[in-house]
Amino acid sequence: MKNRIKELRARNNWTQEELARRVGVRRETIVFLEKGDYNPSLQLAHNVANALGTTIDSLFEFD
Amino acid sequence: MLSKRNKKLTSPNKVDARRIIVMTVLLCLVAATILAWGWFAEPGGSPGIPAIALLLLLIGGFFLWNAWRDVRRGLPIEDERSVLAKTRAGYYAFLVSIYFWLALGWFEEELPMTVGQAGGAAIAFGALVFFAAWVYFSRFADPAIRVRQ
Repeated sequence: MKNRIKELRARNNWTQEELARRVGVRRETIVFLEKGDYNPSLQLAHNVANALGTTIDSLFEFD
Repeated sequence: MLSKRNKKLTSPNKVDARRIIVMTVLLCLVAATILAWGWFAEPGGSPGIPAIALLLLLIGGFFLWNAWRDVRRGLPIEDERSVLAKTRAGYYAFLVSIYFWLALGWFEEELPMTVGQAGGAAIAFGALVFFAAWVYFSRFADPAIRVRQ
């Protein structure tokens, strides 16, 4: 599963820690999400999309 | 001036802060119990036991300090991924501990230790496996158990 988290985070000029704080998760979770090494729950995917001002559909791309 | 939303984002989570205080007290209690156990198990005390208690305090203190730093930055000490990592580490620690207990039972007569010492070794081994698995799944691997879909 690919995602655009890093791209959208960079567009907002946020650090991983800043995004983690806004989503309410640990920084490592953002690191693993960006690398595509962790499949988030639907709730977490929604929270990340919400923090980045987008939708789950446009944030995650399923292979 | 911080907006209301940003104030909320940067203020330390009181529940997490309380949890760290409780964990610090528990860590001290565990270290004190190990010291007391060593003292009563061997009159006059054993030199290895205080070292184990100190090691536990140092490692536990390091993780608690990191958790406290995260809380002060407005980050949670746990989220869904960290809970998954802990759950999976517990699962492996449980499985490995079962085999350790079985091995202890099997080699019961050859072991040069008392039942109390063997129990202590089994608990320490389980804790060690949990710690190693927890570090691995927290830092290096996906803690989710994947199923074919």
